[in-house]
Amino acid sequence: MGADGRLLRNVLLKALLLFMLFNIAYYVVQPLPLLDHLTLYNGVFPGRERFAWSEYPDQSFSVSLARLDAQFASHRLAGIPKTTDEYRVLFLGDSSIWGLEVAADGTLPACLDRLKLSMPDGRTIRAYNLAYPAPNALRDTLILRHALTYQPDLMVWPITLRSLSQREFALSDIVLAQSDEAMQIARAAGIPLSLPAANWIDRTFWAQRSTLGTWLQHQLQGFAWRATGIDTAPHEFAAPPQFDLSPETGYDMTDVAYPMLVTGVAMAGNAPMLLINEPIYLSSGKNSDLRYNADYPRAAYDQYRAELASLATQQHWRYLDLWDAVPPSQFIRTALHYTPEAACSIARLIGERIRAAAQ
Amino acid sequence: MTTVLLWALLAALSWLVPMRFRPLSWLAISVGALYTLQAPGPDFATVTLLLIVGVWWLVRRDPLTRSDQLALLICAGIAFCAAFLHGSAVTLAIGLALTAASGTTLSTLIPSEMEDNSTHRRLAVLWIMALIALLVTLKTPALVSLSRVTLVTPNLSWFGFSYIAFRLMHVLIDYRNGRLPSLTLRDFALYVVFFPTLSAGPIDRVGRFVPDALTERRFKARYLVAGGERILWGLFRKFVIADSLAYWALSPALIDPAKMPRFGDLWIMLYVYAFYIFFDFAGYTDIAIGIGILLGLTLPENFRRPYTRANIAAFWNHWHITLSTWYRDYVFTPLSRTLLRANWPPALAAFIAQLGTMILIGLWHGVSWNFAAWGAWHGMGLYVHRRMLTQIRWPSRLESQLWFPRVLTVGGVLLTFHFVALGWVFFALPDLHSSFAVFARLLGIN
Repeated sequence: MGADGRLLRNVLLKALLLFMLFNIAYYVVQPLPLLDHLTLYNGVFPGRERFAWSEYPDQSFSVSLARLDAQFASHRLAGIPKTTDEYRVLFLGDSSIWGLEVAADGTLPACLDRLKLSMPDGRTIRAYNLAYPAPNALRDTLILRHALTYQPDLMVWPITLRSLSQREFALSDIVLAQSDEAMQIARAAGIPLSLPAANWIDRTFWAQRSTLGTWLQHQLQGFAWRATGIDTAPHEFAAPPQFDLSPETGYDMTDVAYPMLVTGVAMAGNAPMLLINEPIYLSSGKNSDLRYNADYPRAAYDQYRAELASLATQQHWRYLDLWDAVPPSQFIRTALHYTPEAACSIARLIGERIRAAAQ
Repeated sequence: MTTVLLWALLAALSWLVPMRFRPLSWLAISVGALYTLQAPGPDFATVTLLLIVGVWWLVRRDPLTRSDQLALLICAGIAFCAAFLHGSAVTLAIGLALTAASGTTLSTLIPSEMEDNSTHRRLAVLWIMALIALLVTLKTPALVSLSRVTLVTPNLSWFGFSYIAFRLMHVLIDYRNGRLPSLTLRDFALYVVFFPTLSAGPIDRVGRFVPDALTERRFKARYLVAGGERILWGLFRKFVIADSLAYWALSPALIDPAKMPRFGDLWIMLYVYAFYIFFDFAGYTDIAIGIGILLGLTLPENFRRPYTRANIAAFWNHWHITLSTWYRDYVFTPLSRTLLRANWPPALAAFIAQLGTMILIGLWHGVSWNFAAWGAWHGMGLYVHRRMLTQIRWPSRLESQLWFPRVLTVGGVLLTFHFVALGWVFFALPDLHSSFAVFARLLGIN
């Protein structure tokens, strides 16, 4: 072997050795939990109004963070110490609460916060958006569990029929990233849940490089967040939801996991919970006698509403059914997403209900 | 990233090909890259092959060689594959034409004693004008939008055409001026579409590239080590540094003239943009040069620490070097000479040549008022610098101080950097309205 060959061999061997040593050191240290709490938000940059999530990362100055501790650390909730005059309301929920299609200050919680409603005891309602896109009650329960450390006076949990679909529980990136906790919650609810088991490779730098990259991107995006307040790509066309519907009426109601709600509410413990059935788009197009919208057949949704109302009464939950509270003209893109104006009208309704319940 | 690694792998594997076939193997990879990287839409990759054959036909001195015929067959084979994959009749037809051209009949049709003549020179000018017209069409957003609206074609992005056109024009101009060396079709085609330089240059010169590509080399491990090192450095500069800086860099998404960012934030965005664009571009160049080294070639450098230069002329001698020297040789120098020969006052001739060249450099990036303004900004800067060189005389007591040259250099570097950075405002934003709004905020006017 010539000098050149030896040089190449040495370079490759050294690179391999360094790569292995770095992975071993990383495996031992496991820096992700530490990094979750290390954030530029609420310090160098203002805290985020809502959890970081992105459909189009290149355009939105946002990435989807799956690790909840990192999400909470960069949320404005973590940067605001609770004062005696604050009535803290934390919103769980899906993309309709998170505010798909709308700016961070156009969401339902942001609107309720702006209203600065006073409680009978003089405290002011401060609302925080802890929702995350895609309906998923297991993911909501995970967020609820982490949110309890932030001293909520009230948890608001908007759900829809799809939130309770067991089959979709394991599809959330947040559920996958908190798999041990998720399994624990599912077991408590008596719901079978199958998640991929973690192995030793998942703890190496190589396996976690994408998570680390996302964390870094999230920190870097703080500057754009401070400068513009943009955290989602604005869509040019606010298209209405599907008007004419298919005649399909099937819906697997055996997939609906009400026990997840019972577990979630129980987990809230001393923090009062207001459960809300979210507004849905009510189409008047073709086959609207069979379906309410592209998501829900009438029969299945009516059954769900009746069962949820009955469960709420039986469990003595505070429950608000807002299924038809938003006029069809206010919906955009899907059967669950509505305009900032509609969000504000719902916020007023919820605000009044919160005040009334306290009297 | 995957493309880069694939190219690097192919480059390394090309050492397994016998030396006499190695340029052909590089051509095959290059034409393959041309087809795979071309966005769906018109058959621009095929048109590129046609342009190459057309220009070569004009500038040739010798008939087709055996390796040229093989080159044509390889191009035709790749075109057939593309035609099969995309169902393109045009590409199929061109593939057939290239196959036919590779036949012995055509080589006998082309006389071997082709000499430069005035008809060919005139044709070269027509080719140059056609290439400029194509370039302007592809670089004008309004024309591109029009093509989408009229459904003539949904996509007018021609992969690497800015560089391909400038290589072709360089060859045509040198041919017209009688400076072009004899080129085989294979070598000429390889020069135009050489795969490491397709996406971001450098714009090599054919007289330097071809002898380098044809030099007989034996495999040396140091090619892999040095090339790999340069590629890794390029990947780091582009995908780690530049892509991270992109989040903080001035961009249309961050600028709303009605709701301008704060003064300090805007300066941060501007500084970050200056470094973002450098690392982005220089990273790509490192990758191209690194792949060149893997193949045993020495591609020209494009960036040599441009932000450490003490004046704007030095900056342009070290920023996108192959583009600026292209313009210097083919626009600035001929234009200056023409104006001086026409008895224009030297100062005015220098001003017009400087400004015109820089505006054209701006328009090379895209035909818009902003790119023209960016070019004009630099043209003015270069002119003022040139005038200052002859006008400014420092007091002798200052010049005699040991610290004075150092202060002058540091001050020059800072001043040049800020001048260049402010110019990036035009480059980064899409219209003059938002550019001026940003300028006003940067200068504390609004």
